[in-house]
Amino acid sequence: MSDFAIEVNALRKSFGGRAALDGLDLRVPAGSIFGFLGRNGAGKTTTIKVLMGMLRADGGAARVFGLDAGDPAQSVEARRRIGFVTEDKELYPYMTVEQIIRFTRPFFPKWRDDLERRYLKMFDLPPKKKIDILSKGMRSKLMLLIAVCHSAELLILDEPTDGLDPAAVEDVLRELVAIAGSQGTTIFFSSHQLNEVEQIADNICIVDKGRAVVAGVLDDLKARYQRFHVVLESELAAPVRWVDGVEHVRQEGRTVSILASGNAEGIVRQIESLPGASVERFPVGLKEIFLEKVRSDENALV
Amino acid sequence: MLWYKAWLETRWRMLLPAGMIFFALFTGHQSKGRLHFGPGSMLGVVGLFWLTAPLTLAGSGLRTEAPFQAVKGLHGSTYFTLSLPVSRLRLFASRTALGILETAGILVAVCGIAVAVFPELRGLATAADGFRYMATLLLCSLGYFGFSTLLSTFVDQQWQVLIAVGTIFLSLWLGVSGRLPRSLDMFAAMGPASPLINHAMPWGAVALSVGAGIVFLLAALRVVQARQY
Repeated sequence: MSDFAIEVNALRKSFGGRAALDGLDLRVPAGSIFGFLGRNGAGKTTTIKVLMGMLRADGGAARVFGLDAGDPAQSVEARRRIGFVTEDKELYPYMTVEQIIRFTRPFFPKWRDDLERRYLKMFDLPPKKKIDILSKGMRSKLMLLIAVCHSAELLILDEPTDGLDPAAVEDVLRELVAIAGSQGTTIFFSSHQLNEVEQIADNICIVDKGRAVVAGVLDDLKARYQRFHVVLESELAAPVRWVDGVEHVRQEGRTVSILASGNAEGIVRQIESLPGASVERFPVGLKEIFLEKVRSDENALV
Repeated sequence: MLWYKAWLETRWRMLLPAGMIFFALFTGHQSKGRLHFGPGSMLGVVGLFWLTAPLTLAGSGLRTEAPFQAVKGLHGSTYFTLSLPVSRLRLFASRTALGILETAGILVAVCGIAVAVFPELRGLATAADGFRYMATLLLCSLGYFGFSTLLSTFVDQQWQVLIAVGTIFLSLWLGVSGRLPRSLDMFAAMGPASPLINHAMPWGAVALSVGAGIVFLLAALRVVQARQY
């Protein structure tokens, strides 16, 4: 059996000639909490739809538990093991909370009644209320309940905390960590909330323009990425050919800001070779990595 | 459980066609002796209203599961449905089968009430003719049911019903204007040429409707299976 719950290789998908996925590669280790990040339109939801069998890729391969997501029969098998929260949190408006749980339960033989009771209480979901009068936040909670209670091996969550108040966000994040820890469930979630991702994810992938631009274990990435603030004696007369590891350089007058993804010692040596340079190192957070990777910067030198 | 979902989704839709047919029957009953058309024409009117049943109860296109959602570029609860571990064939088949069953249910109720309201119908025809009449109504509705189902793969629910109603009037016009052979005219088959009047099945119209219904349903299934959401 593969060590990866999700494997995506060179995935391509276009809509009307515009590439939504442009050779995306992705590996989601089994049992991990995997944050899938990107700007609006970067290809996150398209990737999720391909994984769920709702969209067919134009090229490449997408596998969930080794099953081909593009094959209808294999996709049904995969979906038995997936709990899914959709981006728009739309459920059947004509059903009550109780009815949609009763409807969903038979599709999943390993339904957990104990978890159902627990989350109904914890999320304060009214069983007799119709879904069409629930807020988006309440629908998010209901979708999470459904996704979690069927003992899914993989949770695919598209913006799971969208519409939740801060207290509910904390509750949900804590539960996700508990589920991953206690049941070994793989959690693959997309989010714009970088602080949430940083709080619970152990692996991340940043996608931009349909390609993975950064991927890996979050702690490793944070250890690898550093920012160097350099103050020079005078402005650089000519462009510098930076050593390996320099990801991004921005210069304003005598000040140079360098984002590096490795080779810190080599970079320091190069900086120290510049006339009158003083350098300071700073750790880099996920937000900074994300912004540097997805934002186009006219002042960038690398 | 897909049946349960389909039932909750469509049960209120049964009221529209049932109400229209009961209205037609009630009006006919109140106007007894004052109408200038015979039972054949009355049956034709009932047949016209009857066809609203398959139109409103068809819908397995999965384009959207909430009215007006597609107009806004949304899919309603379709994504949740597609995330269930169920093939699209099964989703389509359960919804279609329930739509046909609900249509048949309305038919039985309407025919039972019609016989009670119009005692003269009992003199017009035998019980066998009555069953043939019900079979004719159901089979003649299949073509419209299939067409409405196919429409539901492309357009939102409100447009589906509107376009399908337009198709009913088009086929009515084709029959009335003589552009369609009488043997293939659905409204003749459900009215003046129905088993209640002619004591025989209108096989031409029935075959056309069933054939068209199968073709439309298969086409709708192909669309549902191939469609990307």
